[in-house]
Amino acid sequence: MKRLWNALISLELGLWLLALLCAAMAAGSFQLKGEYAAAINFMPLFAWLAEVPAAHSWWLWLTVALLALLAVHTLLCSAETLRLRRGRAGLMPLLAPQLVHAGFLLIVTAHLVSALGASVQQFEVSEGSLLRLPDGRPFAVAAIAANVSPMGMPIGFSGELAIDPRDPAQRVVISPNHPWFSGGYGVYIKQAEMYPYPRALLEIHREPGAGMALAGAILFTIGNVMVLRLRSKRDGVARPGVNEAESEETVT
Amino acid sequence: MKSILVSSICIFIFGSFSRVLLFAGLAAELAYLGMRGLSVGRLPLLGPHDTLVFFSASIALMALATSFSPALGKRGWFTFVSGLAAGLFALFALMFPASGMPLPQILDTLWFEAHVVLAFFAYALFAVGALLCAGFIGGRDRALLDLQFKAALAGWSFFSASMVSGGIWGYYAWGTYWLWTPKELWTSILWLFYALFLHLRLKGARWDALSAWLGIAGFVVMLFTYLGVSMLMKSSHSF
Repeated sequence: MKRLWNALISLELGLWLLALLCAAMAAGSFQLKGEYAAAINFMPLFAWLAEVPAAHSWWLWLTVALLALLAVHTLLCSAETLRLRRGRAGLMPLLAPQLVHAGFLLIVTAHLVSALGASVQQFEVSEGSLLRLPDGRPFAVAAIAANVSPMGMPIGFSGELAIDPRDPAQRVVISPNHPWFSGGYGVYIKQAEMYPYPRALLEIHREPGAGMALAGAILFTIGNVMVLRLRSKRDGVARPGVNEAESEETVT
Repeated sequence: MKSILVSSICIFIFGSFSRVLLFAGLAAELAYLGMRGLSVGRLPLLGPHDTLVFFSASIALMALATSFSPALGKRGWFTFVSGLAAGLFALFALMFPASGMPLPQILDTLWFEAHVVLAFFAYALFAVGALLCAGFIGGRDRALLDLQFKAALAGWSFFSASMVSGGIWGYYAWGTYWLWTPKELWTSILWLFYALFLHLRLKGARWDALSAWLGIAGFVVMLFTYLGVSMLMKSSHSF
């Protein structure tokens, strides 16, 4: 049991997992083409994995498995470090790397949540179209506008949504980078054309991991800044030598 | 306007043995970028020409900052090879036309600008780190590897911040903070590679040689992430 624990928290395991993840994702970047690549961003990841033949998705199965192992490894390493160094190291040196690890774990978890529950729907709409959010609430497309430069080039577009059928005066304007968020859904305008009649491509997204990913990113950034500050103070003094390194190999 | 860029390339390639001339080359390149920005009415960060010039300027800036480290002392080779690298990337930029297109609405946000600027600062630090690794392999001076570790850590931090800002931008622009495209995959590979590299240091001095070679390999991974994916692979997310 002790041997298994030591293997799970060993630096070697972390290094191998990182290297294998790089290799799996590199292989995937060359596999990701054709109809399967087009579909992957329009359905929950696990639904894509269930539908696509293993010959095209093996790299993603491998990536998910390696990421899961890396997440467990990171969690165990942080727990072991806190156990061994609590009271011996200062608070900042003890916490800074663990905050980075915690941020990473939150981001991985956010991807898992999104992989299970994300959704995207596309609609081609014209002015007056009535749509419903996936939870059933209706909204209407009140207006579609396109901005054209003096040279006649399209330079932007927007849509005006009536978001409450009982109160037509309640409106929001959406444009690229400015979606309308409501009840966990985001309504995005992706394209618009004025001829032969005003029409637009709208997407309704649900990204349940987004809040958790943001929390992870904030935690990661705080930890990262703390690590940078500590390293700039140490100024190369603490680089482990040949013998010192052995004691640092198991935990980070 | 291109004559300013050409003169900065000449200063970088032929004069960077001197820190003052490296600074002069950087000043000329920044002047060129400033004039480009004024002419197109936005930060010049679109297309291979502008991004290569910005990358070149970032290398010069990071090399200049690094050159003040006591670990480098009065070694002129570092500013020379850094200037040479900055000059070569700026020379490469001349092969591409400067885009005058207005900023697409989807890119008209501070999150995009932060994403790109932070990424290029990171790339530049990875490049500077690779030069320090080459210096270590040539002379076995451990101080260079210590300095390279700091450059890689700072670069990784910039790169992480770039990924965060890119994720926030993606959420507002596309409805998701992550897309499965070759560019995103290689971005993650680069991030994981440097995470591996930074953790490898905990193995101690016996691993210095491997660490130095990985520092150079990281530069290759970075180049593929930046240029290779955009030029050789089909991805909705490129320059």
